[in-house]
Amino acid sequence: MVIDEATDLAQESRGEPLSTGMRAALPLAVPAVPIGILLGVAIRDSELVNNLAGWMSSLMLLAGASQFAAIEMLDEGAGVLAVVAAIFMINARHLMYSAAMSPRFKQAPTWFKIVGSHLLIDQAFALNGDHAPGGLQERSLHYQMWFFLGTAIPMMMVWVAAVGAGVYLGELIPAEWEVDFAIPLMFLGLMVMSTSNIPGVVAATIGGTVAVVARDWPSGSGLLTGAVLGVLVAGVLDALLERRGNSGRNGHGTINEEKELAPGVFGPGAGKGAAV
Amino acid sequence: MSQNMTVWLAFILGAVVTYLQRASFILFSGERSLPGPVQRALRYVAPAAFAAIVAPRVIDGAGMAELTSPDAKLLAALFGGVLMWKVRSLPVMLVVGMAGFWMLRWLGL
Repeated sequence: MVIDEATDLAQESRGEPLSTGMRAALPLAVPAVPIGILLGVAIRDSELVNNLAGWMSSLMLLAGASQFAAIEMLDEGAGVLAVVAAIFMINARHLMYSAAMSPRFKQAPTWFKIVGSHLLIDQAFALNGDHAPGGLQERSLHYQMWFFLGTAIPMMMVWVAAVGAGVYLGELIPAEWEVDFAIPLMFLGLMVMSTSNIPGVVAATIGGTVAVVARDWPSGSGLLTGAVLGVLVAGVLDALLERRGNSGRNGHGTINEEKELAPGVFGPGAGKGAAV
Repeated sequence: MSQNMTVWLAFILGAVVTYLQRASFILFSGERSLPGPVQRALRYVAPAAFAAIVAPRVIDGAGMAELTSPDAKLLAALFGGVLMWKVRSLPVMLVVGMAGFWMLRWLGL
C-alpha cells in the first residue's frame, strides 16, 4: 500500500508546482534582499555577536524581526533566557500560521511535515494559506506540497545569501535610498491580497490599529496582540454572518462575494503581471 | 559562559522554540482537527497579522499632525494599497509603489 502511494506520487510532476511556486515567490524574495543585507551589516557591526553565529541565525531562525531583536539584545549583553523569551514572543504568530495550515497538510508524509514546519515563514503562509487566491486548496496534496516548497525554499536561500552578503561584504545599498520600505509595502500587498470579505477588513483594521497603539510594548507583543484580537473579532463576526446567511434566503451571499473579490493573483487568472 | 557560547546558545534555543511554534499544529495535532468556527476564524490570521506588521512601519505615531502633513511612507502605503486592490499584482504594486515613494521623497515629503 505504501509502495502504491509512493508510485502514485512519483507519477505526478514535481516540476510544475515547484516552478509555479518559485514564480509566485519571486516578488517577495526581491524585497528581502536589502533587509537581509541590513541585518548582515548589523551583525558585522555588533561587537558581541560573532559573524558566523549571526549569519547562521538566518538559517536556524528564518525570521527577520526576531533576528534583528536577538542581535540587538545580545549586543547589549542580554542573557540567553531573555533573548529566547523575546524570540518566542516575536515569533508567536507562527502558532496561528501552523494552526491555519495544518488541515491542508494533515495527510502529508512525515518528512514534509518536518521540513515544511521549518519553512513556514510569513511569505510562505501568505502564498499558501487558504486566503491565497488561485484555488490552491482544490489541487492535489502532491501539488500543494511542491508548490509550498517552491515558494519557501528560494525565499530561504535568498534570505541566507542576503544576510551573508551584508556580513561579509558590508553596505551594498546606500541607506539613504530607503530600499527597506519595500518590506512594509510587500506586507501591505499581501494584506490586501488576503482580504476578501467584511470580516477580513475588520481583522486588518483591528490588527493594524492595535499594533500602532501598542507600538512601544516590549518584544513585539503589540504585533501579537493586534493579530490575535483581529482574528478573534473577525472569527466571531464571521460566525454571526454565517448564521444570519444560513437563515436568510440568500444563503451563499458571502461565498459568492469572496469569489468576486479575490481573482487569482498568482493563479492562471493572474495575467501577465504575476509572471514577471 | 563565554560570550560566544551565550550567542550560539541563544540562537539555537531560539531556533528550537521557533521551530516548535511552526510545527505545533502541523506536526503534533495528529488525527484531531480544530472545530469548524476556529478553522473559519483562522482564515483571518493573514489580514490581521500582516496589518499588524505594516501599520506601525507606515504610521509614525504623530497622531493628528500626521493627518494634516502626511509623510511619504504613509502616502505611498495608501497609494500602494489602492493600487494592489485594483491591479491585484504584487510585482506591479511593488515597482509602482517604490517609484511613487521615491518621487514623494524627492518632492520633499
